[in-house]
This record gives sequence, structure tokens and C-alpha cells, in this order.
Amino acid sequence: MDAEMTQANGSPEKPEQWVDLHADVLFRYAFARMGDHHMSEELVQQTFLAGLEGFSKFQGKSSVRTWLISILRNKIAGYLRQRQDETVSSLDPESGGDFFERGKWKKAPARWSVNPEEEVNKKEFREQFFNCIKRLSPALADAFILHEMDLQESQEVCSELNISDTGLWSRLHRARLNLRHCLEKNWFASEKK
Amino acid sequence: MKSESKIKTILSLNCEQASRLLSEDQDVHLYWWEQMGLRLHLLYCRYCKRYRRQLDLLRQLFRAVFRGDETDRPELKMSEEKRTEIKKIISNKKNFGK
Repeated sequence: MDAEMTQANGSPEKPEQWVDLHADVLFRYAFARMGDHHMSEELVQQTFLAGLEGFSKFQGKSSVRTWLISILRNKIAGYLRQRQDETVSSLDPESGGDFFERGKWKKAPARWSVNPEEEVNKKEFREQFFNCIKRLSPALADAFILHEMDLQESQEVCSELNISDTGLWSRLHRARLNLRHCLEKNWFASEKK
Repeated sequence: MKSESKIKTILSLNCEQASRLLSEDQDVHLYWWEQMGLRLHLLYCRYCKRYRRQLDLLRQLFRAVFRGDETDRPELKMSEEKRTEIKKIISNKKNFGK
């Protein structure tokens, strides 16, 4: 069967265009999850190849991009499982309870004086930022990055992750608590102002 | 929701609950009683106020870090060599079948 098919919205999207259309987004998602440039390139390549093989079965229920992302997510999950990195899930995934005691902040948020635009121009900051994302549990990182990269509607993210919207809000909430804590500890607290 | 629990939300929100609502507030529209509860809580809780600001910052930071096409952050880009390589593989596979 020929791989040229029509996209959900009716406009044809040929595999030859995939790299130009989707490589950046896929790569960024992969890099955010793994923090490894080489591995991200490899898995994106594998994703395109798997996509090519399976394209005849692609039904156009979602966009090509959504479909490719879900292939990539599976590849990353497989890779992370196999690697069994101790840094992964070193932050407790399941409880917001780490941060509160009888409803009160265990460690009160400190004051951050920060200009985001300036901060992100510092390479060390970006490294730390990726580091903190990497330390989220896979489930939290996946939800947080998919959602914050703004590639899909929340509904799509939910069905992609196979969770309810309440489940999504709860994962985002926990991801944010963890990230906030990690950034404060490793960056904002140690920076001299 | 029962009106007693609405009133409870408005009058006795703790930081844990407030932080959850602040997070949801980033993405969805809160119910009026949740909004009221939050507003009241933030009047006297400077930590949650900080948290609210930090949530905004987190989002701004995330977007700024990932705005890869506007800046040249090599770490967020696939190398040209790899792109060319993949393109080549795709067009070969397509032309000569599997």
C-alpha cells in the first residue's frame, strides 16, 4: 500500500516532509524527557522509521504529529525502563504530601527574584532546568512536557496518557511542586543576588 | 457540590489545597467558590502568594527554554547531519519499498 495518505484535516502530508514538519518538535520533546542529545536524535530517527513502516495502518484519527509523538513516547518509555537510571524517579512521583504537613508548607517557598528572559540565556540555568525535569518520575514528566509544550489539547493529552482530566491536573500539580522545589534548591537558593 | 463544602472551600482553604487550585488555575477556569477561597487565602498567606508567582515563572521559563526556533540553542536542535541522514533514509525506503 502506498504510504501517501491524507491527513485528518484533509491536507496531504508526505513522509518526505516529516523531518521538516515534525523533527524539531519531536526532538525537543525527546530531549526534555531524556536530556541526552545523541539519544534523542536516535529515538527520533527510530520514530520516523517506525512511522514509515506503520503508515499504511495510520487511520488519520489524529494528526500525523500526534501519532508520531505517541510512537516516540513509547520508544522513550522503553529506553528509560531499560536504562533504569537511579536519577529517574528519585523525586517521589505519587505524593504531593512530600511538601505539606497537615495542610501547611513543609518548606515555605522562598522569594525568587528572577527575570525569566535573562535566566534562560544562561547555559547553566538551562542545564539545571533540564536536570530538574529529568528527575521527575516518567509519568509526571510525560504529562508535564506534553501539556506545557502545548502541542495538543488537554483532552488529547488525557486520552494519550489514558487518564481522566482530574488525573492530568493532579499530575501537573505534582510535577510543578517537584520542579519548583528542585529549582529552588539547586538554583535560586544558591544564586547570589 | 454541596453548599456546606463550598462554604468550607471559601473559608478554610489550607496551603495544600490552595496550591492545588493555583496549579489548576493555570489551565482551567476555577469554580466561583474556589476562586473566592483562593482570593481569601492569598490575602493572608504570603507563601502561597509566592507559589502563585513561581508557577507563572515556571511556565515562562519553560516556554523561554523551549523557544528553540527563535534562538540558536544547539542543545535543542537536531544536527543538520542527522536531519539529512533521516531524510535520505525516508526517501530511499519510499522509493525502493521494504
